[in-house]
Amino acid sequence: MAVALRFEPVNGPANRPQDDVALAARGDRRAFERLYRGHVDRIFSLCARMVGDRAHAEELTQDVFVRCWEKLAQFRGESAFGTWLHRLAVNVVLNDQQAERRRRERHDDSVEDVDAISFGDARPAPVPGLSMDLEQAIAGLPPGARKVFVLHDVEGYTHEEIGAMLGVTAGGCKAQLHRARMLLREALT
Amino acid sequence: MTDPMMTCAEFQGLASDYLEPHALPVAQRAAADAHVAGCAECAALIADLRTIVRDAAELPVLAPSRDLWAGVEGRIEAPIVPLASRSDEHAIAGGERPVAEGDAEATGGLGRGLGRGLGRGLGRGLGRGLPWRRLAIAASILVVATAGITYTLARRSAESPLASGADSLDPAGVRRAVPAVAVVHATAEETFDREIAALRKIVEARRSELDTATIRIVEKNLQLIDAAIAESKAALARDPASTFLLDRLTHAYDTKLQLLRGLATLPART
Repeated sequence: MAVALRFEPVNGPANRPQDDVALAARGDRRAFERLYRGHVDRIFSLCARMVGDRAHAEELTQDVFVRCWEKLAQFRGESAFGTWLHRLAVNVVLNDQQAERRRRERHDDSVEDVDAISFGDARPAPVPGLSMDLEQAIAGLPPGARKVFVLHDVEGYTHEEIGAMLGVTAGGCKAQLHRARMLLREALT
Repeated sequence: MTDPMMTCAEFQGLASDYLEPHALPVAQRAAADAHVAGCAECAALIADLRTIVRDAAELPVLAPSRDLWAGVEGRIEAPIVPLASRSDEHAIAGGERPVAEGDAEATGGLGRGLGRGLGRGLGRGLGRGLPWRRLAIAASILVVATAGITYTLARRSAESPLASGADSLDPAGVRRAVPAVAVVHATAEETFDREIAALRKIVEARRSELDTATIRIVEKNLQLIDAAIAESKAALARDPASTFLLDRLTHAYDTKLQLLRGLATLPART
């Protein structure tokens, strides 16, 4: 039994992803590491674009996989593992942002609602001396608009799905998306 | 009804819907088509928005700046080899068992970072050919240290503002209200109980060679600690998120293990 727990390289005989999901759900950490290796970049991309901060996104990516490990036994295979993991990642990011907002509200009564729809001075901040690329412009969007833009235009979720995730109506989601696109155009031209 | 007089402001308000094939009613789309056909500014807007949408869908996959696996691995619960699974009654009776690095490593419960490091330390420190009993006690220290750390992580997690929110929404979008402490609590408690059972086996195997008065005193103290553990558990059942109660329970378990370890390693009666 002790030998079975020793660390071994993960690049052994190729496992099918669904096999690794089943193995990892039973506690096989090497199978879980293979799943991690196969999905980490996509999950990091999602986190980085949703929060607009790569360092924080790295922490969130780790949170996602820890949460995945904890919840893997609940994965019933009704969707592809990648789809399930993606949704889990979205929830981790959204919960992190909610927690951060609650924390700020506790410490600062004047904190503004970052999800409120207002064009005001919300344009993405330009980087002096550099023409802004789309990635930078997305990072500079107000959080509410950024979330919806990333989920819809980058990740391909529908307005209904996003509305359910964010607890807003599909109409509210459309309004945020329109706002995000217009702000991006302003920043990029 | 078609509105041939759609203004630029009206069109720009509909621009995102205009990009989607079926988002606008037929009449409104016809009016928008008519407007954009005759308005260079709005035609440019639509072209720009189409470019943004297309480019967003084609954004490359990003990679983190470092390998994040070690951080993940250090946080996921590691499998623990129960001492009882070393089903070697002969060894419990005092037989010799060589120490392999893998064996010591297997006793480490908290990820490879701690588990492997301490495991190697134990392997080197105890060397080959020591009585299995001593190795089991050392392993118990390691495994229980893991359980203590698990408790600590649970406590930190519970104190974190993320804890209540992060656990509150599962992938299916169903809200849950399970405190992080309660989730980890059961696992850590099992670890403590397992190690206590293993140490008790050792004590039982040595009972005939230990001083009876000492055993009596220790057993009396253990009863007091058990009462404290039972009280803490009952209180935690009523208030699963209490870090104070969790601290009390951890402390009681630690005290019990120290006593049992002391008893298990007492020199034989002369």
